Amino acid sequence: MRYALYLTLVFAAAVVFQTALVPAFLPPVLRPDVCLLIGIAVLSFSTIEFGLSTIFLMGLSADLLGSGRFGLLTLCYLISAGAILLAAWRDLSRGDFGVPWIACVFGTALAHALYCLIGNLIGLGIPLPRATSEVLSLAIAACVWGLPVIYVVSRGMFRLHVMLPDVQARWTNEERMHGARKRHA
Amino acid sequence: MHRTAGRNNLVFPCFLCAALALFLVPQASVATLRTGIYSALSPLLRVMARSSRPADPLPASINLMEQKSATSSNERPTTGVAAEYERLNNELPRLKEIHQRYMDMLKLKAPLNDPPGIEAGVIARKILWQEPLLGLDKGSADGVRMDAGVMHRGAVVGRIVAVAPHASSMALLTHRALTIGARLADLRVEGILQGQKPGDASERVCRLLIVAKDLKALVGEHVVTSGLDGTFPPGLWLGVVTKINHSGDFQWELQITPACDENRIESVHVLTVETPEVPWPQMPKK
Repeated sequence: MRYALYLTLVFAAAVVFQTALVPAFLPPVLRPDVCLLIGIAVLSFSTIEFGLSTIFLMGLSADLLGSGRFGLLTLCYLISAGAILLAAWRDLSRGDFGVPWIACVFGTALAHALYCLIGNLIGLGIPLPRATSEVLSLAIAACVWGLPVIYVVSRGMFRLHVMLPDVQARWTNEERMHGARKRHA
Repeated sequence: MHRTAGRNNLVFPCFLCAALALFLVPQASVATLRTGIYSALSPLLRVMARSSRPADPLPASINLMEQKSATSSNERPTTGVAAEYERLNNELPRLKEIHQRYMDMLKLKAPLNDPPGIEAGVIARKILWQEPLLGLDKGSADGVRMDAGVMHRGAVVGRIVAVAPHASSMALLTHRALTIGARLADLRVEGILQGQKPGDASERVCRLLIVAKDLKALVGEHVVTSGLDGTFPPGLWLGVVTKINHSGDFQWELQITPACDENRIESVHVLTVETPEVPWPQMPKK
């Protein structure tokens, strides 16, 4: 039930951010792919099944809102999530922010480069200069917005207890120790 | 442990298959769903669109005129307001001359008034890799209908492709699937205006396809609607010819730059003219 609630919340947040808030407040160079950042953040702190479900749902929302061919962004998100899991699952599931942030940047660049490649194979005809500039600007935006998104998503997962059990236990202990230090001080 | 590992091995391929199955969803359904999301979020999108809108000089000058008329004869207007009014007043003859020149170029006898329609604001623009589409804040509840034409300041900008109760989506002239009956303003040769070809380096071009043995079109010539598709009345400005390509024995492909830059469009005029019904031909009686 908690998992379904969290999925609904992140889906709604991704749609609102991608459609309304990001285009209104950010210049084009700094507009990130919010859906993918949220998906990778959830993947970094949760079980594989829940992470991949989130990636799939985020891909669906990105396809609905910003794709030239329905299904293509979902496919690219999943492939890039698979590559991240293959390359760094152990490091990703430690519960810190550094590796997920690198995964966000790498995952964004890979997913959108794959989109251009597969898109050109199926006839979308994305010219190379446009593809390069878009992928570069999305990667730069992921560098800027990756950490804030990871922080907010992980705190939400911690509060709703949908994290990996090891990471949840570690964060709970750290919070207790932090609380105890404050009381002693 | 083994059971978990086996389940993990199946999860990723299952999701990949589901993603591949999404390719079978028709594009029309996707457009309808997207417009439904715009409709559900339309109050928030309207607020965001207003907050990010650049300052339009026209309303400011109208405000200045209203301030000038509202002040009484005893009150002195401030220097800034009076200077701005003088500047705009001095520009008026030059702008009228440019207006007359364009009317002569388009061979218009009387000033062109927009056909009847509804004013709608732009609430959503291109996101990520989206096709050239704009979200509008008026839907079927306001009288917007499917395939209606859309104009901006006297020029055609696109057509409605999906309608929800409180929002709609319009395809710009550069959309791959858009076609409009068009003709060259000077030569009066008819053709079909289509969106950009896949692979076009520039995003702001569309194509005019003409079947003719010989075509004496010039770069810089204006393209207007022919009225033959029933969506737009004839004579509305579409764009300007920027390149001419003889693509076959009887085929010509003209590259057209649309009249309006979609990044500067903040509000549009959605036409409500009824498409004329073509009667079925009657079979001759024996």
